[in-house]
Amino acid sequence: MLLELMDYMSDMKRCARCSLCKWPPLAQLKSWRFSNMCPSITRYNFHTYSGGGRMALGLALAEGRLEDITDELLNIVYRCTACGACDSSCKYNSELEVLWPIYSTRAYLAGMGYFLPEHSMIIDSLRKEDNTLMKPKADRGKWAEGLKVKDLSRGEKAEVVYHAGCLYCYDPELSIVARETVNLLKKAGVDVGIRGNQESCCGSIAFQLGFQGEFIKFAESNIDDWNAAGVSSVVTSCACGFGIMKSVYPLLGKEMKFEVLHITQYLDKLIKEGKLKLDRSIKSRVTYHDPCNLGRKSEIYIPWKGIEKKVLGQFILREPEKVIHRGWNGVYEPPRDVIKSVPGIELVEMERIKEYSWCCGAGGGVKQCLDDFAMWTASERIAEAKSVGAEAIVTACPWCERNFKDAIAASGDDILIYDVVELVKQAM
Amino acid sequence: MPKKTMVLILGELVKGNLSNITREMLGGSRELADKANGRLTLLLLGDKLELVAEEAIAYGADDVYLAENPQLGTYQADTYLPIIEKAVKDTEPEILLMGQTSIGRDIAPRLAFRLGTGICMDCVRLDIEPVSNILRMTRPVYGCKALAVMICKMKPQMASIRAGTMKSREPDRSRKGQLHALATDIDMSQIKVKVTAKVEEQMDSVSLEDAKVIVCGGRGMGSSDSFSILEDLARLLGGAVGASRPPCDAGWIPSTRQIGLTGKIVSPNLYIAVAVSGSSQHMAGCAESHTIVAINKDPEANIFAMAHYGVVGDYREILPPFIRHTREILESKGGPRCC
Amino acid sequence: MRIVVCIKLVLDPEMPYSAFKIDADGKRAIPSPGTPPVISPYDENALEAALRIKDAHGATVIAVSLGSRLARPVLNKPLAAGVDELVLIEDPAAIDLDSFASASILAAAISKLGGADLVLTGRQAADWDAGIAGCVIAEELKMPCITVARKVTVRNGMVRAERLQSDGFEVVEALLPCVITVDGDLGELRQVTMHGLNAAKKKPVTSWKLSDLKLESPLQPRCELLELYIPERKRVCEMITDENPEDAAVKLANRLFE
Repeated sequence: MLLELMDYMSDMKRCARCSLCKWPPLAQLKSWRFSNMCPSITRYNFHTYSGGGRMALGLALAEGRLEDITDELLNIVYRCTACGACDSSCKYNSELEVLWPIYSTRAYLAGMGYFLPEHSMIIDSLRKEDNTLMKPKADRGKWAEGLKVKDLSRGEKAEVVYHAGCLYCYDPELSIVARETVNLLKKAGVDVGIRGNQESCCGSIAFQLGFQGEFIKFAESNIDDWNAAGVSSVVTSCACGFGIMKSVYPLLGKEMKFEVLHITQYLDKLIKEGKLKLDRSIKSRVTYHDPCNLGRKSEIYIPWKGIEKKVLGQFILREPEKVIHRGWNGVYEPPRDVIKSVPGIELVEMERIKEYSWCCGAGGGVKQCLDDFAMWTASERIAEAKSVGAEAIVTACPWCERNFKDAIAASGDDILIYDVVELVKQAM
Repeated sequence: MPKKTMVLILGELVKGNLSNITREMLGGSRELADKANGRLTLLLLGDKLELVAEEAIAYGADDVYLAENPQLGTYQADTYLPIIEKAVKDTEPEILLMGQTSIGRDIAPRLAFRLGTGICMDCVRLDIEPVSNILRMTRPVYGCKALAVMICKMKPQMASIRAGTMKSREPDRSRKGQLHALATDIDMSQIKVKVTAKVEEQMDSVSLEDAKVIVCGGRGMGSSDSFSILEDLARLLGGAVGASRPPCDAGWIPSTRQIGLTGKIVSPNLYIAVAVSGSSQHMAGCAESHTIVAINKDPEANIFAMAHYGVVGDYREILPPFIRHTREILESKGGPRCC
Repeated sequence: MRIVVCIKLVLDPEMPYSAFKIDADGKRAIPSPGTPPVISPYDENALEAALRIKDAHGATVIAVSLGSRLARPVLNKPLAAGVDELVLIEDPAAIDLDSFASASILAAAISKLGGADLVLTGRQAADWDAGIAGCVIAEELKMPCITVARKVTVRNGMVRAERLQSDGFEVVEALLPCVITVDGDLGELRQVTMHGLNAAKKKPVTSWKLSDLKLESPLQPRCELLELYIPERKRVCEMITDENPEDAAVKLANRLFE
């Protein structure tokens, strides 16, 4: 299995409650209003909701100090978008793994049979219909109706396969973005194909909720399908999927004969190569929201196993040396470059960006199970965008887009939400 | 001094003859009985059983107990149980065996309960310990992912045997044995479950148990339409089409075609598994096939650990040229025939 | 009409291969993090059979489960699917029980509930695959037993079932009360909806320990488990490979039939 809670015991024990996990790197703080990093503790206030608190919780479970798994415990565990902000911030002081113990705790509880009631619906939907949205598998290809694009499920071959992702396939409001993406790729002369009805979930939500067994099956199936299709690249619009494909798929030990790219990386390449020309000017002041899964969570994760030696009773030296995942190697510049290449656009940065960006609130199963938490988190981000005078938030993940749109509809705000692809399409 | 009954077998008949599994159990138990220097007894229930009884002796039985009555022609637990209990009381066997069949599954647990003993169902291996005559029974568990070895210190030691576990012997018509008649006063009021109809599935091809070639489709087939290519291949090779459990659950193919732990156990010459992952539950149904060929997109699929030949890839790309080329080869050899 | 469905929590039979491990000394399978235990699949079919009867005629459906540790979120599913009540017999002593002991405990629980008109359960549990408990519950309760049913209907105090056969099916009838073991051919348990999950929160759940039941039979296993192991697979597969799937297909045909 991928995650054993026991593997993270030493990290969980070492959390000294410095509380850096609750805030962005101190040197990046710009205002009191937007000085929080962890949506969970900001909303629910108790230490257990922060990264450090979750480490303490995981440790208690691993040491057998929590015999009774109550509903309140499950609420605490799942009131977290697994955004990884705590993980990034911790690296400024302690270099502990925080995100992976969070995943392991969920896997541990799931293995014992404990999860939220809504999760059983999601997992059943995944098993029966290959998607997490309780929609029929037969309808998965409907978003591409009328699109003249190669269908790999019918035996056609292509260099690049476009993985739309569950949300783009089934949400009619967002499917337009997927269609525009395919059209853009075709316009740029890319040999692209889709898998239509045969496409299945990337397994990202199953993984984040702790259902490792399900995740492994979907991940392995996808890798086999893409290997068998002989594609050289897999391009996806779903940042959630991208993050998991980059950071977790390699841990399965299966040979991946293809490269995984996010659409923003691909568009950036096409624009720089001159294959896509953006000539229409858009006069707008926009800001870019870094999706967690495209940014800090898409860094390749290398689990560390080795010997720890304490030097001078204080410093830990590790043999072999541990690769520290700070979140710096996520995909940050390509989406920004794409936005900046739109003539007339003014890109302003929010206060919490890149690897210390504030989550949109949709990840980790929160959108499906705790919508009020998701909406509140989104409203915080929208307030931040408005504080820098942005007219629109540009993002690169359908879940972020969905959550922001829902929050705006609920609050009646007038800020606009675009996907990077929509912006590019408008600029052509 | 008359030897004690070592093994009592509950026999079954198919179209008036000893079923395959009954002959297998006779063959295998002959060894057990010889090792323990005991008698091998067969119990048969039905009608007009004299000739079959002689056959049973040829196949290894020392004694045959016959419960003959027209009412026993069709299996009913309520009529069979009291008769079997009587036979067990009369013969006091060390070991009581029956086949893991429709009848065996239905009657064995109840019989064990009434006899106050334990039972191991679906055994794939039996070993007897000398002197103590304790039977080591091996049975698959966890969907055939693991094997459990069990013993029972209560008497009689009961086991139901999977088809193909034991080997029947060549019939020796010179063998001598004894026939015993069992009283069969059947109280019709005892019958609590009445059979009111039998519906047989329309089979337009060879039955799975008899087929020399089986083409099997799995979850990766994707839909019921996709099975038509398997039917083409089966027709070309003169075989039958089967499926693992997921296509049956999804309704793509009738459950009577299911091969596996709770489906059919088959052992054809050639077994072609297309888009079958090879779960142990399925492999339990086909592991005894002479040659297993697997086509699957997953190079690490479990089926490749059990197959003799494998091709990694999408069946949609592999089967059409495979069928074409196979047809060419068979035609050049003078018509399609079983391999 | 009262229907009792006996359900068992087992390790997920659909878990990935790499996750299945055995503790040789303890002689049991090791639960894997990330793969929750599930209700044994054939027991889910039994739940569906019960709910269909409830839809057609109205009935009170009670799900009963026995185990040493019963995870509530997993056992929420029957309530969310439409079952009216849940009875949990959760006791640390209920570990390593064999089918006969489990059946005896379940029968005692059904008696404590005041009996049932119909008792349904799966044809075999996905862990031990024995197929014994259902029949023994019938013996303990002195009820007739119908096994491997693919369809169950009730009318005028009688139950009519279609029993799976190797070449089709047979139709049988019995008077209620009756025990029926259900096969997968009956159909999958209906989808759980948000509405069902919300309704489930208000449904009664009763918890019993073994000491709450009148148990007459001893709980010692009738058979002794000597060994539990994963068999080694020795077959070496000849892989027919080629860059081009068409060429691979041709090579395979040659290898088999030439």
